[in-house]
Amino acid sequence: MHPEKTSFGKGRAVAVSLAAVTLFVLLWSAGGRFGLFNPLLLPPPEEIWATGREMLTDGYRQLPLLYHVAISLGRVIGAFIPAVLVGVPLGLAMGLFPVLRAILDPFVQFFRPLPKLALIPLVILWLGIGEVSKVFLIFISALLTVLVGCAAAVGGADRNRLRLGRALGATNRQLLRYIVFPGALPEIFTSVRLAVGVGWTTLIAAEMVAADTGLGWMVLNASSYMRTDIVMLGIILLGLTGYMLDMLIVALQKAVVPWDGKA
Amino acid sequence: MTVPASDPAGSGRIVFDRVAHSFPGGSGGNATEAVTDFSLDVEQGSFVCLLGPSGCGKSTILNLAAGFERPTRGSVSVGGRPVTGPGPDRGMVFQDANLLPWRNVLENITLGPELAGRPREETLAAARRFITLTGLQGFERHAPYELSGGMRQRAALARAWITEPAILLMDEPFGALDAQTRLSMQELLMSVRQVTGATVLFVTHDVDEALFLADEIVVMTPRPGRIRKKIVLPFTRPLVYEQLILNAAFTELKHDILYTIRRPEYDI
Repeated sequence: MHPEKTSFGKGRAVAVSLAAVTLFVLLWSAGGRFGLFNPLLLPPPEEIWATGREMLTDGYRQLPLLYHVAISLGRVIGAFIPAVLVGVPLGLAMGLFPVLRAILDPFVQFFRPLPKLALIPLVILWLGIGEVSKVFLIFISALLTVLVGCAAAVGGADRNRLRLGRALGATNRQLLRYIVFPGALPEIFTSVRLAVGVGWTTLIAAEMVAADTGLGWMVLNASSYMRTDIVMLGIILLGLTGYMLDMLIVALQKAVVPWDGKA
Repeated sequence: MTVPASDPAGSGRIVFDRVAHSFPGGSGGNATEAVTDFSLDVEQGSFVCLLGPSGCGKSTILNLAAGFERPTRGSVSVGGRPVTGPGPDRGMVFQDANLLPWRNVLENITLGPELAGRPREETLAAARRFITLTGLQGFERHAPYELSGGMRQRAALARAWITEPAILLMDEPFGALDAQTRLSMQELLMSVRQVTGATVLFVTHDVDEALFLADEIVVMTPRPGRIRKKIVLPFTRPLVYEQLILNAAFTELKHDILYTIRRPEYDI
């Protein structure tokens, strides 16, 4: 942890962050008002706000704005939950059994850095243009992240803790349950948190697959009509939703592993 | 502590017989010999301190007795049987308390009995006893990260004691504590040892600590570690630290040991 963290209180950090964001929006707004930039290329915040309120009532392409938010969230969560359910046990198993790791590692390492956009043509051919292919793309990205993180989490079990367990007579099964898994929890959470980020990032790629709904699609669609206000609204909503998802995971992490970083 | 009749050596006796231990070298390098030709008979119920410069293989000796490592040559036996691996007959206390951060103080102390499947009531009764002995009352529900270094080490001692091992293996357990805390922990160790009577093999590089705690001090040479000198201490227990340091024998022994460790060429 940073040593400044104690001297620079948490409340003050939040206040400074809020002030920074407010100042940024005010400057942006003033810039628009004084004609510093072309509103067609960079619409001022009040115009984006107005567009947002308008779309809340009228929707975008016949569908309410919140529907687009919800369907994007649904895709990410729908991919993310199975990715965690499959990825955590499989990743832990990879960390525990070198043979399994040796089998899966080449595939994991090949697909993980691969830009998921490159998979779109194949995914469309194999899974069609429906929801399945979109969710699948996000699922793959999140899964690979969780796999790598969880495999590393058990691989890095603390030697002295293992020795302690052995000295107290723990069987291998007890070592896993009492020492290895609880010890791996912080890293598991970190990988899950990364996976949410990766999943949310892949959303745009997924919604390029013949979509007609969702925030990612909305951004892409509005750009072809030069509706930069809608593009920016979509970007802001994407950012805020991702931010909230992340905060949710962090809150969960604090509740489950309150000792992380303190011991 | 009772010694089973079928066990003439005593379950708390540790015998090192011409032990050598090497660690595999790094990429392509030669193996590093940590200890060599190490023979020592730690009698049932005695308190032996391994003293030596850092890197002399003291901890390796402890790990061999614990069964975490196997000797490259020679043999290690506990209670007359060769050591094949770790076991609950040998309690381990580490330099950092090594408490499990996801368990509170009470849950850390009861870990051993829980792993052994002991009845809950019996375990809690034993835990209460050792919580009182170690002065941890009121801290049972605290998380390890809420405790000071000294309190953590108290919990680690209670955790090792609760399974009533015949042997306690302690690897510089008080090395990270401040001087006052260290002294009170040493006193705690001595007083509880009167109750539990376990054999203690204690690694330290602190000469004062060894003189205060041990029945016998084993001074080791730098790597590869071998026994340089064995000193049976003449003090009668119980000892009071403030009086011990005025004892002429204490001063003389400390002088000898420091010369042995720091200036081997003098060879007193």
